[in-house]
Amino acid sequence: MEKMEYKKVWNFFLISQAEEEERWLNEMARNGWNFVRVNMMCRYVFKKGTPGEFIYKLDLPENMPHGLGKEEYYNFLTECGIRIVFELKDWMYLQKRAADGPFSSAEDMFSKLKMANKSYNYAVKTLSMLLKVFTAVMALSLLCQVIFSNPNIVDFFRGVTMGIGIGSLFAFTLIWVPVLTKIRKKMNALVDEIAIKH
Amino acid sequence: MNTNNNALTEAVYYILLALVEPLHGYGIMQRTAQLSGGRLIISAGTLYGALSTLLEKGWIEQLEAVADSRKKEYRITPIGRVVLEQELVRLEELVKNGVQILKQ
Repeated sequence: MEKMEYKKVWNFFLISQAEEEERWLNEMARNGWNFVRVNMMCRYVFKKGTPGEFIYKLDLPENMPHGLGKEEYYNFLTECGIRIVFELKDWMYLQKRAADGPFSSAEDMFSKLKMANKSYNYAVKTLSMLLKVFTAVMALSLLCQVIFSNPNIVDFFRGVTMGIGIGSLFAFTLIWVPVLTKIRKKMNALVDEIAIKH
Repeated sequence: MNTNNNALTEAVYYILLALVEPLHGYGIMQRTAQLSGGRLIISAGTLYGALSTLLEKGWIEQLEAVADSRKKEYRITPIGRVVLEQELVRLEELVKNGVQILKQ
């Protein structure tokens, strides 16, 4: 049997850069490197294959109040000739045979808006979860400063409180605000476009 | 019954037209692509969302699932047909006015 050839590449994309990530995965596929998986440390694994055989797209689960659920969405994708190659948290890496045609028409602004909207919801969801965890750790650490009388322990927890407070403030200003702003601007531009094209 | 005559999007118009005969998800994608001469390829996500909304509005319905088949079939309802006919009247008006003004 022929030996499988794999390649590991490190690359980093923010939540707001789903399109950039898709472009990169498709470029790799055109060069004969098919996406296999990615881990939390942003290390991508590719398998050697036929150049241009597959195309890739990133997706997030639909959040539908009525009728159709998550499992049904998976079945639906399968039915459409789309394979979910890999999942990382909510993100789905979709694969389709290039010969079966594109995931959607190039001028399909609505699909783009929908994806931007789903990314935005995902970013807000992740951010609120992080804020909850940070707040809980901060509260615990403040409580420990009151409970313990040993000055070394009090100093340690004061440091923890300060560290998390300053750290999360920087993370919010330097990462989250730009990410949310970028997705919001993309959504606004698409809404303007859809207003004249639909 | 929600049949208010707002303009339908091109995708919804073609989805409703396709569902005059019962089709499953992939069938709808193929039919809409065929009807538009390959121009309109609806993404799976958009189609899925549209089907969910159209079910909620009662413009389409899900057919009884065939045993040991995971594929679900959909079909237009009488209300959906009314919506489609109203849309056709609106589209005819658009075409009539366009022709009248540009081709005189």
